[in-house]
Amino acid sequence: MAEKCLLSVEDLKTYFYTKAGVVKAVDGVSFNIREGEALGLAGESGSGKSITCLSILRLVPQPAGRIVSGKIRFQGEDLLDKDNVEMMKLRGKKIAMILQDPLMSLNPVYTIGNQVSEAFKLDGLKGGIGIKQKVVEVLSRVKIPSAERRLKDYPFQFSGGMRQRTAAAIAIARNPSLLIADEPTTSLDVTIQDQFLRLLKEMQKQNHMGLLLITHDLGIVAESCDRVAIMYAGKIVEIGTVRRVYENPTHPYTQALMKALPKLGTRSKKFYQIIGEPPDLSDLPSGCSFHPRCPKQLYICKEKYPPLTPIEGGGYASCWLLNERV
Amino acid sequence: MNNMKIITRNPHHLFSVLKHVPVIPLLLLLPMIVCGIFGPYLYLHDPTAMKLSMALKPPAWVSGGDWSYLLGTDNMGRDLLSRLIEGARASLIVAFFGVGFAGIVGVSIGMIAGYFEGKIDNIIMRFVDAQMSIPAILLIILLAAVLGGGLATIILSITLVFWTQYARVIRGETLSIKQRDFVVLAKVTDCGTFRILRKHIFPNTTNTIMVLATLQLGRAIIIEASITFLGMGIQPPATAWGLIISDGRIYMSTAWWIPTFAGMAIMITVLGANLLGDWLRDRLDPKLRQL
Amino acid sequence: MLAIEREGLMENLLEAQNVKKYFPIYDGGVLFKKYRMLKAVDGVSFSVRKGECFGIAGESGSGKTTVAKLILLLEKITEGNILFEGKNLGRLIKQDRSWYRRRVQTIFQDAASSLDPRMRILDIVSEPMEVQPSGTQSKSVIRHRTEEILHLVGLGSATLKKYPHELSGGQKQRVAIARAMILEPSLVILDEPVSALDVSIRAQILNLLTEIQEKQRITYLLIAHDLAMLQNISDQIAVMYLGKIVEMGNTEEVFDRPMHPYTKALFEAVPRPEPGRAKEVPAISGEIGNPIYPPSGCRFHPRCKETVPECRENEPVVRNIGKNHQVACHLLTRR
Repeated sequence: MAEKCLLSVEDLKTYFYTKAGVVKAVDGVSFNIREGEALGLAGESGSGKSITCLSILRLVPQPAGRIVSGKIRFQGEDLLDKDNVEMMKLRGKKIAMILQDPLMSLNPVYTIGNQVSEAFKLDGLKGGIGIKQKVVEVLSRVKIPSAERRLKDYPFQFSGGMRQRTAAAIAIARNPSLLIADEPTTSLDVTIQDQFLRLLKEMQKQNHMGLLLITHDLGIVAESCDRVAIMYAGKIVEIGTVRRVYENPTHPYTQALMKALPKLGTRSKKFYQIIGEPPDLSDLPSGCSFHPRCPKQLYICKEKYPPLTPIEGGGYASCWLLNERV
Repeated sequence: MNNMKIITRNPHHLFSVLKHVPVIPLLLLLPMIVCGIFGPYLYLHDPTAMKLSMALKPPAWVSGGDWSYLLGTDNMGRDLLSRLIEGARASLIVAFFGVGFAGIVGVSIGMIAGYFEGKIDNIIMRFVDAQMSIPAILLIILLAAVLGGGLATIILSITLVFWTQYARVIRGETLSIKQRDFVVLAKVTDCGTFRILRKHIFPNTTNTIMVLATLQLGRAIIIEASITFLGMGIQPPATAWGLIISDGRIYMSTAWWIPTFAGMAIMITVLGANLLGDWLRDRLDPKLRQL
Repeated sequence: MLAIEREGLMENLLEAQNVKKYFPIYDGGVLFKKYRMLKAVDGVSFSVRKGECFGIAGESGSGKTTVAKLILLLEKITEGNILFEGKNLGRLIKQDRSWYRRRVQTIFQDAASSLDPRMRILDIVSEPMEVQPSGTQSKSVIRHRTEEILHLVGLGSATLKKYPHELSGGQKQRVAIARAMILEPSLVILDEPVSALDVSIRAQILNLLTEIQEKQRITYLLIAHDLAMLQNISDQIAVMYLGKIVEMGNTEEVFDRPMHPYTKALFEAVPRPEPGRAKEVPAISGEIGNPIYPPSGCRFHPRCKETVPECRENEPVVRNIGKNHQVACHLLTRR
């Protein structure tokens, strides 16, 4: 624990109240990120990873969604106590975000230069040569070739990879201490993804930023994160250093995921398969949500949800198999 | 929360049924539909029977009124309420057939233009543009002048004016539906063009068609009333709301009730149709907000 | 018996000979319109043998999906030939066309968009049977066959009456597979069949696909960007870049000894679930070129780490290296 804790989330619950019932999108999630650390939040669609990050930013879709309970401490302050104006000042300045689709996050009718300079103007800088220099500087930092000549371009004149870099430039322009990236490379090709992940890592090191990387791709987590939290049906089932989780997965779900992943360097037409499908969040199975799909289930799994138990080698997992008394 | 769930899940509960039914629009539309269909069984007096001794009686609640003539009588001594009930039929027929025919023509042409694109599409859409640039009322007056008045003329004119809107909207829908994978897969499985249009594209446009049709109902009723008012639509001795207003307008200062109630009938029905259209649109196809 | 079988295995089911597909792109002019050619596929040759799984890898813009569209007769070939069981697809008459469409089916990436939302599963799956010109079958026969095929893909009869929106993502893809398989086609084109699915569902669908292939001896043409998946299930693989095949051959051979710089870079760029894998330099710089103005010479040269002067001037020819391994790169002639 050499580094200070940057963000700590404790027992976060975000529910959606719909006509069909209560959807427990995030149901008791706890984790923390230290300064300069990269945490990967991995899970399948509907596991609650995106809603977790929207909850941190206090951007849960209204009016159906509500943060029911929990604490989100960022640099010592609880974000849930802040009012909207304070949150607005925080977003972008201290906590920045990169979304999956850069076409959605860039406004098509403004030039690239205009959109990036917006970030500086929010900091109180007046327009002019100073601000232009800053824009060029930040665009070169995200490796946009000949940035100065491209300030007057519109987003449609940029390729997918360049658009995502521009989004990254806007995110890091004000030197945030936490960057949340929600599936930042899903719409990019592998070679472009590789370039972007490298850039992300570089920016993170330079600025000593905390990074919360949300992805469904375990390969991306392995290459860009220090620690990883695996989510299933609104809960974190396992958390630990990337090395420990990948080399020695403890929770049956993590183990199954690692086995099911097609790997380079092997050749077999049969893949290890996890039976069944992810559960309906408004009608979760009793006890451990994973038990209907779990190859190692016990009687107790049907009845009670297992607590997070510390694991040898660091980290936690919530599985009854870890509990010696069972 | 638990209680709420029980209420919304119980289909027999009146509250939950009403939540899924557009009550106000239907209440507004119901008089026209009921009167249009069951008119002859409803009225107390023959709507065409003249009784000059009873002419220009005010509504029942005004002094000099007669309770057997609830809304009063017109200059010929005909019962106004009975005439309004009888007039609903013209509105119903015109709205139903006019919008229906326009829908059949417009949807077919729109699907063809959108599906084939290219030259056919260009020709059709330029024609639509040209027609849409002619003021509707002018076109209808012209038609009525050439063909003579009557119910059939009005239906024909409404069809001619309204089909373009269907064609435009359905063409756009078709353009986007045909890009979807299930249409491509239908081609791969050797489905003919007609089958693709009928089985895959048409069913996916029905929401839009429904919304468009209800929104046009109101317009159709107004057009029918306007044309009849101008003397080129429904001819006496038949009755229509537009005709009642037209007949009554010269008595405006002495017998205000003649045009007023007919006007209110039109207003209520059109309002009902528009509200129903809005409700359907929000329900079925929220992306159609611009209509 | 064995010999016949082996011979049968070697037979080519599909053959592409120097296939080109250019799309005209409007480039100014009102009365006399000018067009430029977007060279989506520019001289591609490969052959798919009966019963195997032929993989095509490449990034977006490589032309791999256009190849699929050409084979599915959804686009017209600009130049070159595609032969299916010896018949030229460019010269099919009407009867041949419907015969061909019964033999060749496809499964797309997005199952949600592949199923008509207004149709029941029964109608979706049985549609290929219904539109067959050779005498319409009775409803009960069609229903029986549909149930049978749904069982094959692991769905119960209760699914028959459902609508697509009542199914989960994995189930939708199973329905799409059932529809493609109902006429027992000989070639199925899989265009990114699992990339829209969750990891835990992917393995199920891939296993199902290989199971069906083994049972019914279907030939697959698998288009994907996921190299790990391609390595595991395809027998042959072709790597495409900007409308051309840069490397092709036996999957094991290509993955063990990638020769083209692009193939190497592509392997390098795939994120692997192996923490601590050393990757310091980006695998590849720059972005895929513009297919309207492709780079001169070798199309990959602006991004290539090992360019030699010839790369800018001449297009490399495809060379055989080894028994079943072809590469188009100037470096090979230099060595």
